[in-house]
Amino acid sequence: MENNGFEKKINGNGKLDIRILGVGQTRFGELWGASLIDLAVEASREAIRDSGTSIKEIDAVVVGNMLGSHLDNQSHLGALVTAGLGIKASGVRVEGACASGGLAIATGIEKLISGTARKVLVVGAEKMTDYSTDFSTQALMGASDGDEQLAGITFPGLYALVTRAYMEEYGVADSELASIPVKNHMHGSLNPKAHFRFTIDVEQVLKSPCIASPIKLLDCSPISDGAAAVVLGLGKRRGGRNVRIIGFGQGNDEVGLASRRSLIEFGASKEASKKAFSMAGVEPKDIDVMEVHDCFSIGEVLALEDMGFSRKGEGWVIAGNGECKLGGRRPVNTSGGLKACGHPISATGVKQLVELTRQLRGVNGSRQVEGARIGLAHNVGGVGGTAIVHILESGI
Amino acid sequence: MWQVSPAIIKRTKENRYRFLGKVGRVKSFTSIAVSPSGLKNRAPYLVGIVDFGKEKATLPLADVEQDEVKIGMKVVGVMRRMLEPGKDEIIVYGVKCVPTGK
Repeated sequence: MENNGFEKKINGNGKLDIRILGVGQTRFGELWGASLIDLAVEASREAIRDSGTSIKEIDAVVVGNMLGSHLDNQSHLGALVTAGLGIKASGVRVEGACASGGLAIATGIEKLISGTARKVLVVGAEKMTDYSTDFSTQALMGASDGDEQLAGITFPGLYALVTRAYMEEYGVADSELASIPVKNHMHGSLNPKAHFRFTIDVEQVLKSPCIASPIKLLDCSPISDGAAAVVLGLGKRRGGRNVRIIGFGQGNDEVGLASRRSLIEFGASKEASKKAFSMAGVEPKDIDVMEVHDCFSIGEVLALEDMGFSRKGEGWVIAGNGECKLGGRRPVNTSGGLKACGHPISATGVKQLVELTRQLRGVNGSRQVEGARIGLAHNVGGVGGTAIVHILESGI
Repeated sequence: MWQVSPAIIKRTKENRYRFLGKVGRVKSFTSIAVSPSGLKNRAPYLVGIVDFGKEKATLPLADVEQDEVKIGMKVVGVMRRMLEPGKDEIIVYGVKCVPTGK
């Protein structure tokens, strides 16, 4: 991808240079004392405090949210959040199923590049636990297409179709895939904001109840409440190491799994990562730490394969052999991923950048990846209808 | 999709029946144990991706147990009840796939 000229507006070197000035995140979990707006405001205030910016300097707010209109009957979130914060900024909601958070970040970047905003607050928030599991299951089917909904497939069911096809194609047993949630729970146990802070083992995964065969309960990210926020700008952050977004890319594909050429790869992830790598001028080998979309165990496997970190059919090998664990060659999902940190749908894509920013600033405590300089966030909507990738770099 | 209006049912009729009588092969399948509100009493039920040659589709599998389903198995589309009546008492029919020798 050529420099379209827009990068030259950002930085004299002709490269994308969006500064992450501040980050914030609520705890993820069953937070019955907080409403959707409460969560969004809490994360936002933390990000604004962290940025050292006055709240009055925020001129645009982008809210990532998927289920607010369905579960809370709230379809005016941009305005609700700006009002909740008590500021005069413009507000808009961005949706892309489970990629809503990542798309909100991309929208914030686009506002800065366009020159219509100088400091943008991006907040991803989701409130899911006020209702029963089967009501949420029904709402989450909104990420699939009409035919899939009529067939009663459910969201775990879609990923189960992918998992079974993958296991059949490459002769992989479910015990191999089970090492992924085990790894992510180990990471999550180090994260005070994670939904689940306990470790698990392979046997527990395999014995957990079936949700949609062959996917079991402990292969599935939970239904969680939570919010995460970042403040983006063009100027330097005062104090501490600066972290910049140096590339991003989005891909889209048929929403319906049956309409895809292959059941075991996400073309949208391939496209999104290709664009992001090209814009950032880096390759997979340059990435030190990643947050990828492990809504179900197979999600992490496909992420590694689709983005070029492993050969097709071998993603499960590196996901389980220690390379992707803290202390390994390229840690993946040090936040605990969607599985252990939790998956308040639209908060996830923004949380990924919060975690990567902490890594690249060198302030991530027991989850710190030593010397991490370049990070990648991978966020997917539905079963691959949308994918959005961001690449971050620590700098001066 | 659980409280579908009569207008939607009529508009999607042709689409719902497009695989009636067609033979295809199972590419993948799953048994849904945790179902959404509208299908609470039906679980567990089987859903598969069936390859009809020109097109693949996600369809419920019927008249078969999970341990009898194999990837590559031949199935045929038959008319079945898809959704129970809602407030307007309309039963939505569509296509499910059952095993076939042919």
